[in-house]
Amino acid sequence: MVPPILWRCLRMPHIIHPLKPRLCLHNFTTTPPFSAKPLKPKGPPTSSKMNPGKQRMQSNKVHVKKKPILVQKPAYEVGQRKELRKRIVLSNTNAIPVVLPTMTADLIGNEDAAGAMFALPSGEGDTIVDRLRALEAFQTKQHWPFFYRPCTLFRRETVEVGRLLERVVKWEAAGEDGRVNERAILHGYYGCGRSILLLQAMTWALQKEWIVIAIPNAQDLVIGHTEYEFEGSSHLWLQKASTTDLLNRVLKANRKALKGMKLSQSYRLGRIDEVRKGDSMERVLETAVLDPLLAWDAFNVLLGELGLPGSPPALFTLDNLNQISIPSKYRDQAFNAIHSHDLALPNAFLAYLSGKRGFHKGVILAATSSKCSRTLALDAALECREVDPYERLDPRIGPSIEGAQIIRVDSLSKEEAKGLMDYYNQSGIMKDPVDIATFNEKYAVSAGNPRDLFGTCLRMRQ
Amino acid sequence: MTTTATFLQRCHRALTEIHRLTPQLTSQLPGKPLHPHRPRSLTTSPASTALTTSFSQPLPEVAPRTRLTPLSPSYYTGSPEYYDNLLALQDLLRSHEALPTIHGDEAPEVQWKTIDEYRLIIGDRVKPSRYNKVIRILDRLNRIDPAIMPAETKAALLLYTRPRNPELKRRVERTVDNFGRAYAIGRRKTAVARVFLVEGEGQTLVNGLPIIKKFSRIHDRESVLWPLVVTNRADKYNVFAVVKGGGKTGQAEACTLAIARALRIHEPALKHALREAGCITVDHRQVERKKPGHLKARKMPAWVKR
Amino acid sequence: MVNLYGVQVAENQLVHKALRSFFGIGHSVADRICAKFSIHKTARISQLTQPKVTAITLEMTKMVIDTELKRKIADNVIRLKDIGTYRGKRHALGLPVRGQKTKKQIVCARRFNRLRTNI
Repeated sequence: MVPPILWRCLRMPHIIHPLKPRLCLHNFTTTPPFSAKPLKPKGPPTSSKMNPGKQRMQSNKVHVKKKPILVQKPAYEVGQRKELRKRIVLSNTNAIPVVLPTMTADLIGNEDAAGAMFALPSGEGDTIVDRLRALEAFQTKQHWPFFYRPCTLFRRETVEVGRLLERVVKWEAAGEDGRVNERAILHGYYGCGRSILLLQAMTWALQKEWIVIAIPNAQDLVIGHTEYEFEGSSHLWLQKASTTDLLNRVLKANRKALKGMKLSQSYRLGRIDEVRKGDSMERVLETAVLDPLLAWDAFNVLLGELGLPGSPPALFTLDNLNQISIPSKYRDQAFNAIHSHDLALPNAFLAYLSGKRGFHKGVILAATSSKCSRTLALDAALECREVDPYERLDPRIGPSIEGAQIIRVDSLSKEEAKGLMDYYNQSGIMKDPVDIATFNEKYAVSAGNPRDLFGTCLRMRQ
Repeated sequence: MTTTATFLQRCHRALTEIHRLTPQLTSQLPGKPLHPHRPRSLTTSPASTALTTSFSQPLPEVAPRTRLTPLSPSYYTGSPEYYDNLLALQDLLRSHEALPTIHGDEAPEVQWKTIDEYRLIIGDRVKPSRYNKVIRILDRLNRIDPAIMPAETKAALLLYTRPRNPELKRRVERTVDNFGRAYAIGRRKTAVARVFLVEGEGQTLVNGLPIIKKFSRIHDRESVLWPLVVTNRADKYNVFAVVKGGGKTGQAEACTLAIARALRIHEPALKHALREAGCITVDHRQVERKKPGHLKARKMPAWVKR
Repeated sequence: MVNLYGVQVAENQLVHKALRSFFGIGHSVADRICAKFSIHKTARISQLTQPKVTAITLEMTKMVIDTELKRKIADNVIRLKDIGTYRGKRHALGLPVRGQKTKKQIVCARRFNRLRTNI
């Protein structure tokens, strides 16, 4: 069965992206390929009569050809497969371009825009997409490679997320003193678009030149694949490699805003390094990125500075909250599993989420995940439902998200689904134009779930 | 001489019995020359002409033959009574083949005589396969549009229908209840689904959960909603299903059957479309039981020499 | 190459795997050693600092592993033999010790249940 995307290749002129590797397809053909060597012109036939002795000599001798020892090159270099697996393709020149308005910052909290598609700002000299990419806001399985440019749907939930940002923006505009921290958790069924909502929030925050700190996948922090180390004073387990990576991403995405941040006092990084009052935050992070030993101190400096009056607003996001509500794969010296909340980075995030710590002006957003199994305590806390009294729930989970607003990410409404499907149609995903019967069918089968809606649009009916 | 006498006797018997058993049939055959095979009639007796032709139009006089021939063309088939009957029915069908027909679902409901009753008509043993042949022809004749059904066909069919027994309980017609709900049950594998179907805007609840939570596979959801999707009514009905037993696939397909049945209560005219989509046919297959001495239902242990 | 408990170990080998190459250290013991020194699952030998390697070696010297463990096992067998137990006899004969049938399939017993005095 040929997938419907390929049919479009017949219609569209085949443009080869200069950066993408070319897919080599061998069509059936009877003509010899150009790369084949031309047939050698036949030389004069060797006559056996001319030198009969030579031939006899050849026939007597067993000719053993020495084979050159071939050093087989590995099919992939070390790390190449991982890179391929993690590579994010955001555009497809084979897809039909769709003219859409740009998702600008003045759409924050705009209710009228709900149900329409918006393109992420990616014009000339606009680096928002690159900065989002640096923050790892895009994920591999979000179907970006099917479309000409990254576009997202403006949903009811987008409006709600926008409201959080809007409140901070208004507070800032009013010039009022005092802290304002908006905390929320995005929660819903699988494939309901929580990560995309985080992406939309980040897009706006970057456009407003906020400091965006993003933990793209909390699972990386708890599966025990990076180094860890106990820190006696705070009773936390530091993850220096992970912290360095995080700072690296923050630095890449927010360079301009960080440059404008001046330190309010001198800090000591590690044992020796010192940063002076008045230095830019960018310099601090640049120092820390080079030396993992300084990373945790630098991260604390960044968080501390963001809590002081006069600092720019911040957006702190974490995807896959469920992963840090189960025991981590790390072990302490007595071979007990380390509680995820005792790891420094999740602990810092949860301190902000639960309101123990706060930015001067900021939004803290977390998104749950459906891929993590058995997070009863978190589910009970999020959904406020009755639990089995004999169930042993983790007592630390409930307080860790206390006070955060829970935004229920629901299925798409019919209008939203219609907008999304029209976009798919215009992008050439679907074979036939969308009529009301097709729409009803796809909407009913996908039950308004965005991920399944794409799946039903892409695949053919049996 | 004795052989000639018995032959004459048998001819006579065939003649009289056929006349006794299928008088209406033979009398109602159309008068025109029937078909090219008809002349193979072997008889010379004048009674046979009266039997096989219409009363209104006598056959042209044939020179009487000197040799005795069997009366029935099926004389040498072993069961001449049955074959005479079958040939007569086939002739009837052939003559009405061009008439417009209706779909089998819409044809008037009739109960044909059972094989035992049919044997009584024929007066001889009839194999089930031969009986089925007759029934097939009768079904085809029954599908002729009732508005233009010829009287002779009607009369012929009447011969083979069972009289309605008023004492037997008639099948209760299911209807929508006073809340506007249609209720139906569907089964598949070991799952049983009970479905209430009401007119609405396309919401589905299975065991009180939204369908996306109950069936996370797209394929299962497609199965559940297939009757509605295929009739283009996905946004016109609300489904409330209670399903238990079995696994996900069984539950989903039990829902399919139940929804299709409930939809037929709302709109009986959809029967044909639903049958085409395969929603009405019950899939009664179950897992075959494991037997002792077998590894699975059928699998035997590997053969070992000694 | 790094010297771990007197053995040269390749730099790019996983620490967990390198530990398991010693007789007497399996998955669970290796896990515990790694946990004791806060070494994560995917750590390689090259990522360990020298003090950590020394500490691990020191830890391993405290354990009964490798040759020491093999000798201990052999000693136990010899003791059984010396006091004339049935188990000792079976060891000496290279037959199953724990009541298995000997009609067929005693390859493992032949391989393992032997008196090894000099290890």
